[in-house]
Amino acid sequence: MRKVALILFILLIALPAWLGIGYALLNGLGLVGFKSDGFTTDHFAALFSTGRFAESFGYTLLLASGATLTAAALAFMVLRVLFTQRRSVLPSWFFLPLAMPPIVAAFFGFHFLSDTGLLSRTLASIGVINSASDFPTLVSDPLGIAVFLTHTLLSFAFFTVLFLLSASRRDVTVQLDAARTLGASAGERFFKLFLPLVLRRNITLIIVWFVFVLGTYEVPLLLGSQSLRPMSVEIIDKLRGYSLARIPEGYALSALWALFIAGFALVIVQPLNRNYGR
Amino acid sequence: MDVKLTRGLLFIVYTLPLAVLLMLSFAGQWAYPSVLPEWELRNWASVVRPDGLGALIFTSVILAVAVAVVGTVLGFFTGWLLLRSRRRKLILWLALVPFCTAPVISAANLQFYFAWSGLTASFGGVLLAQLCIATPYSFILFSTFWTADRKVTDDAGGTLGASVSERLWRIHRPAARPTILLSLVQLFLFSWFEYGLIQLLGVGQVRTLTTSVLQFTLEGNRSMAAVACCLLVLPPVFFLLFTRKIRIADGLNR
Repeated sequence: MRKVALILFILLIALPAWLGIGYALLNGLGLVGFKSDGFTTDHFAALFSTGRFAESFGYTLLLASGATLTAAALAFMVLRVLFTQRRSVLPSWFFLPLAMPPIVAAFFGFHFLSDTGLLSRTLASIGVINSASDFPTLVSDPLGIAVFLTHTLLSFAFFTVLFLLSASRRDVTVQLDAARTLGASAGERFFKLFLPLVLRRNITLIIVWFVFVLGTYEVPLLLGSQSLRPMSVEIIDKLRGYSLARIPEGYALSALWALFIAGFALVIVQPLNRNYGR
Repeated sequence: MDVKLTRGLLFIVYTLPLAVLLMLSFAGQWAYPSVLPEWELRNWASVVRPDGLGALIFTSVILAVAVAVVGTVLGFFTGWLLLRSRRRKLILWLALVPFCTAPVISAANLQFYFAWSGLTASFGGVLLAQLCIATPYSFILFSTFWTADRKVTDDAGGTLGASVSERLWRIHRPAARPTILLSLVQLFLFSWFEYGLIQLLGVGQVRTLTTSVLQFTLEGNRSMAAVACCLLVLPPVFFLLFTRKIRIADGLNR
């Protein structure tokens, strides 16, 4: 029985990801694939010499950390008001944005934030702007503002629910009550007790969420700019573009990115393993 | 800020996307700068047409249910390895790598193997590829179940003469019920919401609701894309409304 479990673990969990990374590495090194002419480091070198790697890598990190941190800060601002509310149930509308997949969020973002979107129409109807061209470009703009806003909304909804759930846990409420009895003000209770407690408890999930945003694909595909693209979009574009010569470059990039994520996963192992107890 | 005001603002921000999607799905002509479109019911009729969205719902549901059930069973079973493993951290890390990598990147890296074995552009291929991510996900969810306490129970069962399969089925499975439910829901949603992998390995042959959203958008068919979006969002929303309110105290203070 143990052997069966081990074989299934290797075949379905451990092996596929590394087979994929292995193929991407070999293709990137010119050893396999349609255009392979033997070992070369040119494709990897090309990534660094053009600066595309640094640009895309930097942008992805900035987008993910920006959206995660902004959303967490906003969620804590909401919690600052709501943390004293003792409710064992959250109304179901709190969970509505969590029912939205990224592709739907991107679609909503497009029709809300574009030049002729709902926001622009609303501003035009109340006379703030005169025509669609007066509305600032948020979709497909060089900075990816719509991408950032959409991810911030999704992350904010997730964090608010996550933090509110921890807020009504018994061990938290008991400590908050004790602090109140000892004369701590609402501000002190929030900043010195609640905030550190909730942050420490949820830090792993915040990091996992950050990793998800790092892998964002659908949202920048619909809302992002052509020039500044996060890793997933950049890689798929190279792999599926019209130029066959760029495919090994795409695989080289994919291998590097997957290895980076594998390294990042090490950060999550430690807190995950803590659950084991004893 | 006032509690009521905060809740009111949150309510607007949270319900606005769904309201906009519903509005767009019933939209006909929508000239700038009118805020509301002309209403039309035609788009929703396509759900029941034989060549319409109905078939895509069917594919999406079958795929998501298969991923949820098979992934959860495998996650529960392989997670059992954690119980007596001395290399717990290594095993967890091996499962975290596919979980953390974006599905579309995993699909790109695995594309060669799927093409080689003739699995691209097939439902089975997409299912297998999604399972390569969903099983590790389920495995990680179950890692919080297979703990030191479970080992004590497992040992006790063994001492009393229960075989491995009896222990798994009769002792651990009932105790794992909440985690099994969690895994079923999470894996269903993962598959139901997934786009990049299906697009890359399905090569346009495997069409689901998510791929149709982008396809309709690229065709400039805003209303049909909105209908597809509503169909994607409504099942989880109905689930939320059906359960009325999420009892958080029960879920977490066990």
